[in-house]
Amino acid sequence: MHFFSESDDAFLLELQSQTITASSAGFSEWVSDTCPPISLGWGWFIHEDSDRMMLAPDGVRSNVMLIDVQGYDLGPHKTVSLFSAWLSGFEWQTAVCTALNDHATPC
Amino acid sequence: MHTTIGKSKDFSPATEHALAVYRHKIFIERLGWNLPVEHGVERDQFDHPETLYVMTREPDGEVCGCARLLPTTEPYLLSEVFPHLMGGAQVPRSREVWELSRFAAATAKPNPEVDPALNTRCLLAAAVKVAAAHGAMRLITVSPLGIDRLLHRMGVHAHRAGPPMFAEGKPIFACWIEIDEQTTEALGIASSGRGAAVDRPARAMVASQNRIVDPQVANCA
Repeated sequence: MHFFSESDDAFLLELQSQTITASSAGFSEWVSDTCPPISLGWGWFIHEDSDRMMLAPDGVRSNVMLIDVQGYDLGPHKTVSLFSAWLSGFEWQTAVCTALNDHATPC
Repeated sequence: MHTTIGKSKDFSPATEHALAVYRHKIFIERLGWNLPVEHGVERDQFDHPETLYVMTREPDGEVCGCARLLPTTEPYLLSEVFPHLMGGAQVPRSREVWELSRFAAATAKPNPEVDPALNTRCLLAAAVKVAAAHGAMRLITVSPLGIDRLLHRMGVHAHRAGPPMFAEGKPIFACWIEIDEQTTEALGIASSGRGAAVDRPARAMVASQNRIVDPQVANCA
């Protein structure tokens, strides 16, 4: 479930300094309603040319360590990588845009 | 820039005063945190003679960074004030876990000669080293959400203990910092010799993260 999202001008400048053509950027936080709760957070940006909201290249942060079928940690890097891959197929943009618009920030 | 480390009982009155003034300047005046203040000094119940502090100082002696370390075997900020940030898990109580709090790496007055990124790295490195010297294998902190991103960018092995929550309108969270090869390398300090956390089997680790096994995920890549 969406928890909150916000724009961040400093993050926008940071992305632009990495030659990412972004017109807006910020962060989004999501939390599950499971017990224990799972927390995921990531950066987003609006691509200037396509106007699409995309996952920022600074990774997904969470309270989760993915493990393999034998119970061994996949490690932080692989966990981040797999979450990023999963997010690419998950429609999160609408909830983020709605939250940003509720704060009168154009999306 | 140099580093001062010690317990408050061992500090000179001048050092104690410098630290108190710095904390008030940063946490109360600049960040606007709603913290207890005694006689103009920012201080809470976790500041006592045995509390361990780390300070970075400019060449002229001005404090430009501070951090507080407490063992989790005694009351600490997360356990007493923010246990709900653990997402339902028990607050840590272990000689191998120390709490890092009141962390700030910023000059009290503008000083272009102090590199903020280097100051942050030096302060965190010193805090990790001191904690490790006292037997810590991991740190726990209550931090603004931006710290999650900062640590991630620094390459430090940090992760959330639970979901963030709002406190006085700002999102905060409980953050684990693993004192492992990834962290020590990211901070440019000698390895603890314990090996990278990723090398340790899940069963051998203290249960501190939610672990998910998904055959599809496990087979991916």
